[in-house]
Amino acid sequence: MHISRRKVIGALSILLTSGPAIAAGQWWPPITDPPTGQHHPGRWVWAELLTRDVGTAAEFYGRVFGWTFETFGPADDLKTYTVVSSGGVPIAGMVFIDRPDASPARDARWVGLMSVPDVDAAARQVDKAGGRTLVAPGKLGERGRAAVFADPEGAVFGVIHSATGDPEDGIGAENQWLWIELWADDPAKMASFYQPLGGYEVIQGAVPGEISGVHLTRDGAPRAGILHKPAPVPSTWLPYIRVASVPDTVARAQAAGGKVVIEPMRARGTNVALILDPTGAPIAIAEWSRSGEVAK
Amino acid sequence: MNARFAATIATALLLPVAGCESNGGGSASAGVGFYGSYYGGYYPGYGYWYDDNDAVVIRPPEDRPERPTTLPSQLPAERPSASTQPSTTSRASTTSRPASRPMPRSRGGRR
Repeated sequence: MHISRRKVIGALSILLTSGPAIAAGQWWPPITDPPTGQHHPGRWVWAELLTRDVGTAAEFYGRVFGWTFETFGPADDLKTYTVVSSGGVPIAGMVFIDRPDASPARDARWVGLMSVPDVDAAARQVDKAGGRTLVAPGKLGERGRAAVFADPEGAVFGVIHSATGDPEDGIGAENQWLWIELWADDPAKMASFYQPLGGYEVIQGAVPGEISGVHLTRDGAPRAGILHKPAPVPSTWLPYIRVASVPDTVARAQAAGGKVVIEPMRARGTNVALILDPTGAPIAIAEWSRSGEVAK
Repeated sequence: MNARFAATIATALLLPVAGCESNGGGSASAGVGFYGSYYGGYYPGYGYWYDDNDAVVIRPPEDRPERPTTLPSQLPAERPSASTQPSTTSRASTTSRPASRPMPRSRGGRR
């Protein structure tokens, strides 16, 4: 794998201090409203963008994917929560990290949340398997019970037991979530870490020469992938957005201030690309036919 | 948010960064976003995909089957209602949804 720039990407220690952990009375939007009453353990059901600049990020995602936004919270921007919708369907949230007015660093990140039946049991499992609990299990208002962890390589992810249920199973429409994968140094080790959390079956390169890395499946349904990261970037979860045209989306992304990390390529019979939003969050895009099979 | 949960979060996130401060402005960081330090305290190892102003660029080989993606050949079928659900503002809600406010302005900044 050729990497055009070999400078080591500097590790960033964002050092937050002081202040109340969470202001009282904040509203946590449920991930499904109205409730679905169904849960799909092992499925990644929500995502949140952590960024220093919600406004810039929203402008980008609105222009590129047609997403719409509703912001809740007090007058202080830093304490707001922005709900992201696509086609009228809430799919994600956006929140501020650190001091948006103090640093130009583009260090945003999407964090996926996996549905689990028991958040507390998941926390115990993470601890046992070498991960770190960043946010201990707790009830987040009307959202349900959730926790946030770092896996043994430092990739951040969350788990949730939604009080209103998970979104209906199945891939989303265009401009909604399609897939999620972990870029890791040691895919096999990470598969062992995530397997008990999601109740997954681990499929290692089921189709030699075609599938890279590992698939995590549950009840026969692929839920996530793990890939040996092809660049010296931090280990991270990378969500995919389904788009009508990868080349057209890349063009819109560039026009909106995004960067292209992987140019459109043919993979698994379809087009895939990887872009960074203007605040630095990586996100993949891929085309997908409505039949459930990749476009030929 | 109950006090016990808040205290747990404060403990979990403040311990790793106890005594630290910083940023380019030379003043102690006091950033407290929506989550407070919910996702904060970003521990060593959290990095980014930019080197100065240049993004990392990956060029997969053209002639080999390996591609930097785990996208499978099949996924669960599309949700029938995925593209036809009505707006959240018009659906019956069982939650006490507060009023929304204007989008945070670009470049962060406090209002």
